[in-house]
Amino acid sequence: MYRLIHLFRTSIGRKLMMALTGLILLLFIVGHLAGNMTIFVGAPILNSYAHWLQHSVMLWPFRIVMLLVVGLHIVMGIELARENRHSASNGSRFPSWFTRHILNHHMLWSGLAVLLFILFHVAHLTLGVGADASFYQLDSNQMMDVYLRVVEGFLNPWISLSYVVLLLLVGLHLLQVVRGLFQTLGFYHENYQQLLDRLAWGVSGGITAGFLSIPVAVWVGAV
Amino acid sequence: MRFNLRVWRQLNQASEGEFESYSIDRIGADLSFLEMIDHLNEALIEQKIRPIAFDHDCREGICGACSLIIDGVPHGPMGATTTCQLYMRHFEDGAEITIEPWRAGPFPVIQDLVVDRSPFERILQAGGYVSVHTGEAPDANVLLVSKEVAERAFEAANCIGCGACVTACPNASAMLFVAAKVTHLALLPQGQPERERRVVKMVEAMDAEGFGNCSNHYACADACPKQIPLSLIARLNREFLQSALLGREFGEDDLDCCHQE
Amino acid sequence: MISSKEIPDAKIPDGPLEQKWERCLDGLKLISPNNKRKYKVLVVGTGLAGASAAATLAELGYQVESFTFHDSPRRAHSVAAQGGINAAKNYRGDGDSIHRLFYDTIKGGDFRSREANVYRLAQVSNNIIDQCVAQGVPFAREYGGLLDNRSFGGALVSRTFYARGQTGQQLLLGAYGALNRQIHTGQIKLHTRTEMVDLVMEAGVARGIVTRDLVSGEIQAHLGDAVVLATGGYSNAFYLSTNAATCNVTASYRAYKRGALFANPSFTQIHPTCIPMSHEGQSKLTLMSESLRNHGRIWVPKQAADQRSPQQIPESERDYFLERKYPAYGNLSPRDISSRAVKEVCDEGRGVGAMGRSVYLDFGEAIEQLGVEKISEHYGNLFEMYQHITDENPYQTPMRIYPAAHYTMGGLWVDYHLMSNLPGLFVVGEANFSDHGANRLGASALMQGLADGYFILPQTLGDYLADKKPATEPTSTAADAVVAESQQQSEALLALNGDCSIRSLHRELGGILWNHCGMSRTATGLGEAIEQLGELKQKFWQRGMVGGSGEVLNQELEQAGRVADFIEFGELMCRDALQREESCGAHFREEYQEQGEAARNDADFSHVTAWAHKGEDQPPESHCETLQFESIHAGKRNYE
Repeated sequence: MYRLIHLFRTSIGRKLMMALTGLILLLFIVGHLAGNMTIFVGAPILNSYAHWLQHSVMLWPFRIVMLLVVGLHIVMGIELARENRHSASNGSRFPSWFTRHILNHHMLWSGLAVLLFILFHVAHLTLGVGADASFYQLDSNQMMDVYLRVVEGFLNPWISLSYVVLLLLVGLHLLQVVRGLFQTLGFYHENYQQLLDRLAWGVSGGITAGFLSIPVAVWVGAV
Repeated sequence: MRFNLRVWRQLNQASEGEFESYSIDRIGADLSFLEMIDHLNEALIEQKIRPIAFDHDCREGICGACSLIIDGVPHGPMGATTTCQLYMRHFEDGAEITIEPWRAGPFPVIQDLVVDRSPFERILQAGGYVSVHTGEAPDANVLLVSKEVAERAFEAANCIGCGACVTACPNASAMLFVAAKVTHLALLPQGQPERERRVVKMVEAMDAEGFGNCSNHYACADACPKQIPLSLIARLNREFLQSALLGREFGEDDLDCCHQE
Repeated sequence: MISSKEIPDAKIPDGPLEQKWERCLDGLKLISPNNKRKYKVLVVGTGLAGASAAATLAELGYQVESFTFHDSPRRAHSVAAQGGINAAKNYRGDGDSIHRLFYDTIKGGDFRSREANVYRLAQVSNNIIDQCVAQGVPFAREYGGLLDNRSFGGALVSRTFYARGQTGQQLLLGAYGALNRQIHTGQIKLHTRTEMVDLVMEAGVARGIVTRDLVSGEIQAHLGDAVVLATGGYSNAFYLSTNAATCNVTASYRAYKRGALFANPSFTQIHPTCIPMSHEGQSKLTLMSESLRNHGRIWVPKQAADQRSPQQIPESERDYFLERKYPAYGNLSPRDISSRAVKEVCDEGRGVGAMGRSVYLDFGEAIEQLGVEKISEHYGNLFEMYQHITDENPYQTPMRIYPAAHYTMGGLWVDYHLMSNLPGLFVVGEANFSDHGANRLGASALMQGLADGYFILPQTLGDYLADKKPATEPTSTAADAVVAESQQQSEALLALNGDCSIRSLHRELGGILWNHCGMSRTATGLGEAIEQLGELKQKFWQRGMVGGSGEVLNQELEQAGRVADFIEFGELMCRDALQREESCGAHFREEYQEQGEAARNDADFSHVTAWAHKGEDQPPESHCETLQFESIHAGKRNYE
């Protein structure tokens, strides 16, 4: 135990923590995407999938674990950013304000965008903040009509726009994450540089496209 | 050629620095960047102005002393070169050139363009060597080292300790430097007995000096005059995590302190 | 024969050459491990010799304080050595042996070095390679995993170990690692950005040094039981040289002024393959590995002042002068001989390039025969470096080269134990005079620095300390006096407020020495130079300009102190060159030649000249150590 505590006091140990929590979150996103894709199979399947999730005994343990993971990821991320800012305190006066504060800390900013996205997403589809009664409408199988929630939500242009913009920022975060993940976990090697780069684009691009496909499908009336 | 220079001037560590502008004329295209500053300094001396202090020595790109940020880029715009090997023909006639010292929290400015890089020393002292007493060594050819491994170790050992990687990094991280030093000895059979201990001690020393964390910007490798490969950072992570999780060298001090409490 | 005083005993052991070092070791007095830690040794300089000596002394148990004026020991100029390091391993089975390395080295030095020292150097050369490999120096390897060797600097055997073009850096990193290990254990205290400015003598023995902290300006004394100088050579006396900008003679020269003998100061090596000077503002000359001469052919036009481009000059109008004059060695002739031949053709007006001071090093034929690929495999990085600096592509147009001051064989006089005539003052590496005679062979400097530092000094120093009680007094009145003198000197320099920058005075000094005490020398020229140097010294103190404060970093002040010493020292170089009325090795007196070749005079000059300081306005006094050759015959140095 001392070993682990000690490890997470070192810079590389903390980076490991970021990478591992990030990896768990990435896996969650992939699973989540797979679940969401049931929307294309049809409303009953999506709704029964959602019903199954809602009534699973693992729901709250899972949510707590995810909250812990997200929390750790955020706390560590902020802690690292704070340290880095301190280390670089004597930084060059030359690069522009934008470079110094935004580009050089884009993981922090895109990470905050991810947080914003999660909050927005949960408020929109799980809690139904500001939604009317149709939000709790049941479908023909007496299950919560999640399909309707999604379709109605994306027909609102403001929700759609926020969703798309935030999702693109999530994609940016992921793009950086996947390649950095290999570096941080020590798997990066120049022999496989191209492969890993493509993988990073593939994974982040695929996930982003997957999630984007839902509002697009709603707009064009495919679902 | 003529140039307008904006140079960082700072009398000592305690004082505030600022940019001063100087114009310099009749500079030959074959002059090196440092020779251009020599010229400027001679002109300043004539005007009884304190000349610009800067670190330099071998002027052939190997000692690692020279250390200028030129137009925001460590070692200037050429890439894969040290400041001393930069020539004025690489700049446009009439250009405005901004010259700054290395910038990083752990590298305080001593004067003008001279910074204190002693944190690097302490990292190396913590373990950047093979512990072998003089006279103990077996015959040199007893140990076989494949050409491939020797060359890869050489590539890492190529690091000249200039600190460009740190100043290029927005986090002032020293990961590329430490990675080069760790990799050099981790690859060679001579480095094996102390492999775990070395990486642990050096990373701990790096942290203690207040360098930032690697957040995978990779600006370090772009700035490196010796083109130390980026993949060495992955190797450092691997070496460290392996030693920390599985080795015996890690956390000892911590255990001691806990027991004492 | 000049009447000169004999030098103190050089302590060369009796017995056959092969057994001298062993006998010496057997006879050395030892100090118990408990007592070693009571002695403090001050090591000045952290290059190959200094770092290896400090580390090894600390390993043995002495307290060591180590001094460098750089911000890191790794910046010492040993780092820039390119070619390699010799050792008599005979891994190639090409007939090499300790005796052959010894003989090549002493012949290369034109029989002006001590037989016993050179033999010992060849003996320990093998241990050096073992030591460095154990430290993790990434020497070049063959596919089978064994160490690779190459032939270097005209040697007929392959005995040079190398790490691409940066053997010096890799060896220094090894020694620096050993140093760091001892700093970490607390056995060595390292002082960075600290420059030695004087030596403290007390009751006839070296007691310590006075240093200036380059950042705070503080001048203070450090006391110990012995002082080791590993402060390198003085090629920068020529202003333009292959040395780093801050290399200087100050530590050696101050020791000389405190009574140490300075041996053979005129023995300075001019390296033939450097990138020529291209403009007036140039601050340094860059060396290119001598290995280029393996394939490149050196030539100039037969016609003087031929303005055609090299491609336009037909084969019949080219003079491959090294091949013509020295058919056996050709383009691989030793450094001094090649350099002189280059100077000669340039003096005839046949030099090429804008300033007429360079010759072609042509790879045209080699590229034709072996192809671009093969040549690039051998010399790719050197060609790149050349193109980077000169903006000319050596694959298309011949390289241009010219000799430049590179290494100094002369240095403080030391005995077989590497101790100067001042008890307790030891000198190692390029700073001493011991092993290279009148000319150094390629890949021998790294060997000597490490031999001294790892294997010789740490043994012999104990013998000196064994007779002494460890010094306990923390202060000394002698030291206080030296500190006061150093402060005065520093103040005098700061007060300089004339119209000549230190750099311009240094450049002037370089011009005088290069013209009169460079590759070839004459009695009249040297006489003139001595006069000019006297004037230059006056000019320095009357019209020099330093300014600024002594309490912050002041690079002008640092350099002013070094240049002041160089000017005085230049005079010593000229005096030595004037007195040595013969031509030997790198020292070529135009009056002494036979058919254009150097004429050595063994009858009168088979000795080392060591100079003693006699006061500010007195000429120095020369002493001589006669060289005895017991095992070999000092033959004519013939490379034809």
